[in-house]
Amino acid sequence: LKYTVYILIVFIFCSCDLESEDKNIHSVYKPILIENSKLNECVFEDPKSNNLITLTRKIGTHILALDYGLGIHVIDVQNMSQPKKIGFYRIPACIDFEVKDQKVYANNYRDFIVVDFSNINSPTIVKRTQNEFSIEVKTPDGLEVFESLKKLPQETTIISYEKINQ
Amino acid sequence: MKKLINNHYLGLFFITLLTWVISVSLSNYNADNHPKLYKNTNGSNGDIISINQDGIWTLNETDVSLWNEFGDIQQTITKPINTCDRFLTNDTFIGFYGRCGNAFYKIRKNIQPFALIRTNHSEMMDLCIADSHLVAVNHNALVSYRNLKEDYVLKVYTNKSDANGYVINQSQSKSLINCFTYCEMKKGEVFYIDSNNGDIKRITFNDANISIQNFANVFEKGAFVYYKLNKLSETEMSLMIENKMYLIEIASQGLILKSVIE
Repeated sequence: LKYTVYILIVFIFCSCDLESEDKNIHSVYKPILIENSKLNECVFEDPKSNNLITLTRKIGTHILALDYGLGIHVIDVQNMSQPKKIGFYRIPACIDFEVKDQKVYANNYRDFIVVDFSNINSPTIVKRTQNEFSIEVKTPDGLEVFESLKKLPQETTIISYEKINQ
Repeated sequence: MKKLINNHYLGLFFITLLTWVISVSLSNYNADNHPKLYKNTNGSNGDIISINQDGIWTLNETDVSLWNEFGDIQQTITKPINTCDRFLTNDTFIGFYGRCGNAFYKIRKNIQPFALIRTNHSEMMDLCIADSHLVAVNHNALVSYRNLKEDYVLKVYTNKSDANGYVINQSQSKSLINCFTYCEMKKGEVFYIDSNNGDIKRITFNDANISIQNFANVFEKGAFVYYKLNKLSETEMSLMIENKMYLIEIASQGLILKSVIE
C-alpha cells in the first residue's frame, strides 16, 4: 500500500502541467469542417457574405475573391463604385489560386484543379490532378486553436476558419 | 525501522521532486512556446500556385512543379529546403525562406535552383516584385531592393548605422500580434500597410531616391486584423480586412476608396 501511495504521488506530480492553456497564445479562430465525402464538390452557388478574403484577381470586368478555404466570390466590377456579387464558386479547402486565360488554377484541398471561367456564370472543372499538395489548412493567424477545438468528428476535414465570437 | 521509513519518504520525495522538475523542463522545451510569426495563410502552408510565362508553378511540402495550361506537370524539382513562399518575375521562379527569412532562391524552367541570394533581413514577412526589382519587408519594417537580373543588392536604404534597411516604422512598441506587414507593388512603387496603426504607405523609389507618402488613419487601428493588399491593375487595388473588401483607386493625389464589399 505504501508503495502504491508513493507511485500515486509521483504520478500526480508528474501530471501537473504548468503550461496551462492560458499561458499560450491561441488562435482567435475556430475550424470550419466539411464531411470528407463532400470535399471534392465544387459548385457555383448564389452570392454569399464574406468570411475571410485573402486574395483577389481580376478576370475581365470581374473580380475573383478567394474566401479562405471556402471558395471564390465572383464580383462584377464593371462599375467599380457599385460592385455586384453574382455568385460564389465553392472550392473546399482552397487556399490559393491564380488566373490565366480565363482559367483558374487552384487547389481543392490536396488536389490541383483547373477551372474554366470563360462562362463566368457557369465555371467548369476541366482538369483535376489528385493529391498534389500536402495541405493542412491552418489558422489565418498561424496560431494553434484551443485544445477543446482540436478533436474533430470522424470523417471530417478542416477547410477553413471563422472567428470564435462570430 | 521508523528512521528507515523516514529515509524512504525523504528519498521518494526528492525523486518525485526531481521527476517533476525534469518533466516541467521538458514540457517547456517546446518550439511551440516561441512566438509564431507566420506570414498569413499562404506562407504558413507554402504558397502553391503562381503563373508566369513558363507556365503554372506550384509549391508543396517537397517539390516545386511547373505545369502546362492543361494541368499536366512539365517539370518537378526538389524544393530548396525551407522555401515557404514563391514569387515570380516573368521568367524566374523565386522562393524564399519564410520565418528564417535570410535567403532567396531563383529557379528557371528546365534548370535546378541556380542562385541563392542571402540577405541580412530576418523573418521576412512579404516580398514585392516588379520588373527586376524586389522589395523585402520584415516585421521590423525594413525595406531594401535588389536588381534580380544582376543578382546583387542594388540599393539598401537605412537611417541606422547598424541596419541594412530603411526603417519605415519608427515605433518600437511592436507586439506579437500587430506586426504583420504586407505590400503590393507596381513598377517603382510599393504600397505597404503599417499594421501598428492601420496606415497605408506608398513608397516610391528609383535607383537614387526613396520617398514615403503616408495615408494616415485610413483603416481601423490597434487590434489584430487580417490585412492583405492585392493589386488588381495599374490603377486599382483591393484591400482585405477580415470580412470586408475595399476597392481602391490609385490616383496621383492619393488613394481613393471606391467601394466596400461585404
